[in-house]
Amino acid sequence: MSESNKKISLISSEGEAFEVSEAVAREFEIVAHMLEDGCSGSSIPITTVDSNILGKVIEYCTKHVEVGNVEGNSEKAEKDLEEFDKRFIAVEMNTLFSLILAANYLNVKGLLNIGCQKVADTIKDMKPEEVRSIFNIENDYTPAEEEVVRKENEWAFQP
Amino acid sequence: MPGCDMISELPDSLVTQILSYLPTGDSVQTGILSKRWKNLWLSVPALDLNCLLIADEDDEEVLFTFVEKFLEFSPESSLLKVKVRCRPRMIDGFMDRVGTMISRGTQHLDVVSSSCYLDERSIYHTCVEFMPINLYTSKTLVYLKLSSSGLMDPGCPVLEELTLVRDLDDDYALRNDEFGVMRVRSQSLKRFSVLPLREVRDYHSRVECTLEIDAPGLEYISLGEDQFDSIVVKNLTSLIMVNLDIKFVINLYGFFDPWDASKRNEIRGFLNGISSVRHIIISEKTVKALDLYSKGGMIPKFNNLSRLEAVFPSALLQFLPAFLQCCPNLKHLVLKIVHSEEMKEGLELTDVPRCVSTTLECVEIKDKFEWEEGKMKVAKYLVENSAVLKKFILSPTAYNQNIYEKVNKFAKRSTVCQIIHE
Repeated sequence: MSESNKKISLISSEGEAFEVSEAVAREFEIVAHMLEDGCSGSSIPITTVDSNILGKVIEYCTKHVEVGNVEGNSEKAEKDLEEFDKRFIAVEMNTLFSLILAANYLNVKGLLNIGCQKVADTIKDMKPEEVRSIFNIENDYTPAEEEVVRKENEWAFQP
Repeated sequence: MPGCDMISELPDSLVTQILSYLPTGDSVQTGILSKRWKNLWLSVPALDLNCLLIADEDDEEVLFTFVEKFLEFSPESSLLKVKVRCRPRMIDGFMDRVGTMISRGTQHLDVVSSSCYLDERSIYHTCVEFMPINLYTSKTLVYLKLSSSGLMDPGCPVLEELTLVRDLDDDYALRNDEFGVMRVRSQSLKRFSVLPLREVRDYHSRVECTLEIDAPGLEYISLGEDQFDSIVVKNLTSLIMVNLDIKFVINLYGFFDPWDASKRNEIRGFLNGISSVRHIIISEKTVKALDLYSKGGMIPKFNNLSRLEAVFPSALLQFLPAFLQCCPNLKHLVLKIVHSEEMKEGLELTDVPRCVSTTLECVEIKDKFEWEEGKMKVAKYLVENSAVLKKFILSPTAYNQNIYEKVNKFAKRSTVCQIIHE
């Protein structure tokens, strides 16, 4: 871990610069790979992520790097981190999907996992009609087609 | 909640990743959302199947058709996480399907096995179903949890975590020699847990099984309840934490005979084997067993132990200093004292172990009930003798103003000691 104090600027799609430590930037696997490939520039453009979302992803990574550096009572640290994750991911749907897309693009696995988990928890126990309505999914089946799909795995639709 | 349609913008790979966090039944249901969703559930890199929910118990066809369809949709893709709850009654050929799942790069496997079969005359027999053979050679399996399943030595080359719910039929296990020993030999294993059975059944095991652990990478062991008649450990050089709720014999109430030399040797071997551990959690049962053992045998020194959490019956508090003597570098002691009927008179705590006078920095007393004399004596003993104590914590349930004031009045040997009620 040489040059752990080195700063790197991440540039959002609006051109706003976010200065972070190299350790935090490395949490973005895509950035870690760039650095390993000898990309020595101190500012890295993240063109597909806007300032709002990039700021959040940096907040997530900063917290995880901080906790990772603390020695000692790991159980408590783990619990704190879980709490942090829970609060962090409790955002409205559009933000949640933006975070998932950003985490996927930047390859921040932990964030991608809690994001996907959060969407799954939201869908769970919902009727298909409700899922369609909160995600604005247009039902392009005819009623007859829908019935065929339902019949194919009838057991899954039983209450 | 205002509607949003961003889920439609996610690529299929992200939608299937989201679905992988749902039970398979729920993910199947998403097939009727729209045409795009029709087959997405078939590409989910995980399976979480409760076979009881698929058709009647007698209807094997629906179950097999479903599993085949799922497995055949994209046979080249990975199935990272598999959770299967088999039906109680064994189905011929179903474990082979589980084998197929494992061969698809499964990293995380959780199986509840069948526990009986129907013979040709339609008579039920109990049984223990063994895991498919390719499990043992899987180069991807990292996490394994098995309930009621037969498992041989899990040689799995990259396995890091093994959790067992050993709810095996006693009569069946008694008739079959292979259940007399459970071997856990692994170079890769980091965590090993045997969960207590009291949550799944109300009777105790009668099977005299020996547990043999040889795992140089093992960091965490948790043994719940007495499911092993003897435990042999080897090469536990990476051990960090041990959580024990055992008394080294399997009968329900009785303890071992402390004058039985072979039993003493076995326990000594076990304690020596785990003596490099840094964090110990022991139940009331284990404290009783160790007290009994100490009457005829030596408890080794736990030189690396920095944190001890123990449940002491108040009748055995006399054993506390002797036990602390074996933890020369202890920093953190969490003590729960439970009232025992056979409270002994005249508790005298005089010996001051090395850790109390040199390393003990934090003591937490956890308790629900009123403080009786024994507990007060322990508090007094620890406050008056601990030379470098920083915190003496009365947990919220133990606290009442009266107790706090009493404890705070003890002469504190450490000048930096704070009595804290949370």
